[in-house]
Amino acid sequence: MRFLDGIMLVWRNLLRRKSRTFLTALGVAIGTAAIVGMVALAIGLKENAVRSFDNFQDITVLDIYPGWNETPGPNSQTKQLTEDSVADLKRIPGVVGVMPQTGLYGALEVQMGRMVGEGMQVIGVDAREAEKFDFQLQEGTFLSGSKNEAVISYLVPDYMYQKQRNSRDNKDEGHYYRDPFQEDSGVKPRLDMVNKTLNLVLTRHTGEDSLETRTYKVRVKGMLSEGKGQWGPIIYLPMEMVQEMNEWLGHSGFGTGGRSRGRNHVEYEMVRVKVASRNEVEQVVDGIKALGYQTWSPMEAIKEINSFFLVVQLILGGIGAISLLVASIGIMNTMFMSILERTKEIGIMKVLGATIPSIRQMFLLESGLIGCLGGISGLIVGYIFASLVNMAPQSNLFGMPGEELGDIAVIPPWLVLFALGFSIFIGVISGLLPANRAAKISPLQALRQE
Amino acid sequence: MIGSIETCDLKHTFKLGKIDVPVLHGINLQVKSGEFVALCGASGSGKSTLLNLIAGLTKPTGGKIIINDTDITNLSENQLCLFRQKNLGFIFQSYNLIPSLTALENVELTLIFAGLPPRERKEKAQFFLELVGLADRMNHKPNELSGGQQQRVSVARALVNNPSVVLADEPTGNLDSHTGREIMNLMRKINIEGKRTFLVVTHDLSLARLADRVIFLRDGLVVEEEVVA
Ligand SMILES: Nc1ncnc2c1ncn2[C@@H]1O[C@H](COP(=O)(O)OP(=O)(O)OP(=O)(O)O)[C@@H](O)[C@H]1O
Ligand SMILES: [Mg+2]
Repeated sequence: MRFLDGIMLVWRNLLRRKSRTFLTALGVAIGTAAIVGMVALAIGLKENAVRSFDNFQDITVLDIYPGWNETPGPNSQTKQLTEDSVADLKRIPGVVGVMPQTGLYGALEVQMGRMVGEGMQVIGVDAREAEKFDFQLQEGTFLSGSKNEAVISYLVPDYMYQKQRNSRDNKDEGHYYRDPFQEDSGVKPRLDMVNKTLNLVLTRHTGEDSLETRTYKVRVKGMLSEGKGQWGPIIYLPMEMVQEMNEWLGHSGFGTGGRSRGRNHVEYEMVRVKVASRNEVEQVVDGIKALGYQTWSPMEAIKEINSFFLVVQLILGGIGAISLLVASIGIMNTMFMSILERTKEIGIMKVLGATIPSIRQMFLLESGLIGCLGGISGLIVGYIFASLVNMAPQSNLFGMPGEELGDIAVIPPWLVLFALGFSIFIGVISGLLPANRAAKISPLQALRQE
Repeated sequence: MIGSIETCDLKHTFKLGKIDVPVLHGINLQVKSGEFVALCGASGSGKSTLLNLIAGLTKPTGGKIIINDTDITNLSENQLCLFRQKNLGFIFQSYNLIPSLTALENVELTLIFAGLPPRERKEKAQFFLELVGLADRMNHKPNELSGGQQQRVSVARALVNNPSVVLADEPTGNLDSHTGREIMNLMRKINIEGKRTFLVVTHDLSLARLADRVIFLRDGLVVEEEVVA
């Protein structure tokens, strides 16, 4: 018997018993939908995680902040980041680099020729560990460790504007050289700042109305690539320089100065840690937390979301497995019934010369087709489920700013093929026993049936 | 010879639990190629049993069956299916058409199992339905046909695989005498024109007279043979 003829015969038989076929296939459909949903979630979440690794930041770089106690009281003590902390952090297995950072406790103006810039963040870094952090530079090099060097983030040139001749009071009108939020900003060429000298002008209040300024000259060694490092316009300076600046600012009594410090006891605002590989991130995070510091890794967010969806996946997987098992029993039952009903037909076919394999093939085709129908409907339901999940608001899930999330549930072509193949497989497996029974029917006894 | 049927000391005993029911007690039958033989006998004499044995639907408990020079006694069930597919046509008393299929599809079914491509088998099925005079009923379902028409479909179905031997168990049993005679004449015509061997069981002696030869069975033995002039 030809395969297509078999399909045609079987299809007509299924059409003869539409509601029974529908109900039998329904079980397979539910099972397939649940399993497709489960796998689609798993794939989508994994793809998302991978994508956010690439988009967000280098996952192997962790930012560590001083620890704080949740319940303030006499015993509440913050765990400060000091030279000792750096040594402790270096001892955590998996840590390859530790780079302390300190912010500037005040504002500064950047001057470069006739261009000025404000609102930049200044971060002092310990440049000795820099090469371990694999900074990606658009241009130039990272801090070498010598004095009066700077590295700028990609956005810094966008925050420079031309100084107005008339007065400095005009600056509120905002004549930005390039407004990063303007669509047509790309028209003007970017200001080239690498290998230029900048004047960093600090201002402090010395009295009610009197201001004092101090200028630091730095040479820009390099510019980070777009989207790398911390977000925003940032000027990276050697740690000692920022500490000196803070010292100078701190004498005023304004700003955030006045911190208690020991003589040789330096506090860092933040310490960056470089982890050897992605796999060790979680372990290092645990180690850092055990030391009493605060840190956060996108890995944790991903893990949380994944564990939430893992429950969903387990439920779907369970539903899928159970309903496929029940569906399989259902198919078997339907097939036995249909064989009972068609015993005489089978007998006639045998007398007409249908061979045992072709009888068996016919019934396997029938159960396989039921499975296939169930699989197709299950896929449709799975697609609906996936698009519903993907429609749900997702932007806050990972809590990362400025990041577009992809689909949470993804159904790749291989999953479609797998689901179809699997449902057909379930159908065929369930049809094995009934098909054998059909093949064994004695034509004479079958013909005696009325 | 192609188209010949031969049985040697064919015995058959049904087993009903512990009780043996002997039905055939050693039948020696010889049907020549192209012959039309009628098988008569009282009810319960074992006619159907003999026919079913020849069709390979049951295994005899003794003796041999040789069709087309092939000893089918020791063939496996699947070999028997294939043998029927290639060599035998079968006509039932109660037509036994498949109710969900049209006349054309019922006739095609035999060829589907033989694995013929759609076009070829459709042409053949149409040819034989035209031969039995049902050119205008091809797309009717069995329950839209009269008994005589259904039996014609079943004759076409038995012929479509071009068998050398056609077996018919009371093909006229469910029909009125007029229609029965028509069917018998149709088979006789095909027998003569198509040179196929026919072995037909019938109760109706007047119909049996249309055959080349009539064989009478009684209590599982051939009791009389009559050659019709
Ligand atoms: N499957 C069976 N099991 C037991 N006994 C059977 C079976 N089939 C037939 N017989 C017996 O064998 C005998 C012959 O039956 P068979 O059907 O061959 O008779 P028949 O000549 O065809 O009769 P009829 O003209 O009524 O069709 C009967 O006595 C019957 O009881
Ligand atoms: Mg009988």
